Amino acid sequence: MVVTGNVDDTEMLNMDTKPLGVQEILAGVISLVCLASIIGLINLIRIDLHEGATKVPSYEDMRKIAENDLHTLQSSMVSLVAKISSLASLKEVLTAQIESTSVMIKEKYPSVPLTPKTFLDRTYADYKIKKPLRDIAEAALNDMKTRLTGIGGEKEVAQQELDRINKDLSDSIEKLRHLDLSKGMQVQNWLRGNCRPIRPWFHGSLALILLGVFVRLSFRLALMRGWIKPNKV
Amino acid sequence: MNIKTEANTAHVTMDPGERFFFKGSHLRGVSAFNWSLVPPYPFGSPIARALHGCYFGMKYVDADTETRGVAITGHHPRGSFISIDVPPGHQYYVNARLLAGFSSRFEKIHTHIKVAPVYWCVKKHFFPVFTGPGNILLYSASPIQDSAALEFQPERIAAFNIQRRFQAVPPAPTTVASQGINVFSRETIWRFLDGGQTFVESHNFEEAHAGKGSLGHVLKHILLLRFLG
Repeated sequence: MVVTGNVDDTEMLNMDTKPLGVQEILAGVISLVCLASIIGLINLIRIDLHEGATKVPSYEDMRKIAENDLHTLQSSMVSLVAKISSLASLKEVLTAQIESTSVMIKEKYPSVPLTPKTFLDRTYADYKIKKPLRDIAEAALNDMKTRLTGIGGEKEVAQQELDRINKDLSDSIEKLRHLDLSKGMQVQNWLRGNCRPIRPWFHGSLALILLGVFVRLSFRLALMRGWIKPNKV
Repeated sequence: MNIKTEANTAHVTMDPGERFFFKGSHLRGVSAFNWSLVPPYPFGSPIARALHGCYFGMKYVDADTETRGVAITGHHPRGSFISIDVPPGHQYYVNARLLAGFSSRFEKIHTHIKVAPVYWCVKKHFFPVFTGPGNILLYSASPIQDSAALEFQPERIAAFNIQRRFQAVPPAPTTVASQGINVFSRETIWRFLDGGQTFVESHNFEEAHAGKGSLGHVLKHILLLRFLG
């Protein structure tokens, strides 16, 4: 159909009062669904960002955990050293070793807090938190065991004390390994359950796509209802 | 100045002292022309004109002391020319893609940039506007006609007086399936609210040949036309 002549302005104004058609209802419903989905996704992203930032332990927190473990080890060592005070050099060796281990631990765990922007770093953080803690503690203890086996003095007394030290150290290593693994697993499980790196990106991308659909359908609905005003070039 | 157009040929007759600029590709076989080193109206819609080959390298013909005529032929066998005589003070939008030439008497050429919602609907924001007096020569690969109708595809519009108001409207399908498709369609119709002349192509040559034979085109036909159309 070819329309010629002038179009009456009242015809354009009356478009707003004409009954809704199938296409207009469809466009409106889909637009509302998209809008509701966008709001829900934004809420999910907000939760991801907010809880992710507050719940994920920082490097500083994990450094303190590692230090506490080492302090537990240190207390154990001090009590062992007190038992073998006759072997004077052992105390100095153990103290120096423990101090150097503490320094090494602090260097391995720099105090860099996680920010919401570094979601993808969390798996790496998990690796950095768990593995060096166990490696360093085990290396330190093994080194101490090696040094203790070379200490001189009265042979029988020293042998007895060394046997006890070795036994206690083995117990401490086992205890430390158990504690360290459980903490690591806790962190890892928390990360897997609450802070999967892909989630905010997935939700964000989905929200953007839905935003595009919403804008386009809203425009289409406005076009169908005649809400877009006439204009001149 | 007098311009006679007949299908794929145009004859431009210039009075003494007049000058007419031609898009270079339309002057094949015409030897008596001059190269325009500096683009005519250098600040008049330079980007749109440059994109469609009517900014740099335009040629012009002068009628110095006596009346002079130039006959040109389009490069498409079924193409057509049409001329627009723009009265003094009137402003015409001209699709730069179809611009084949214009006289040197125009007061000015400039671009109207529009961002209101209606322009997003018709997907056009930059409008080259010629302010009269002057003559414009348009060329299309399909016939161009001077229509008094009010509704057109935006892609087909070649030129019109910019004082006319227009509105974007969607197609009005009748079947439920077509209405469902129309919700997601990008097709809009350019609807003038005021009467007047509109220069339009019979069909959009570029659009008609875009994407033909592509997988998307075939799938669209199978899905939309066979099952839902």
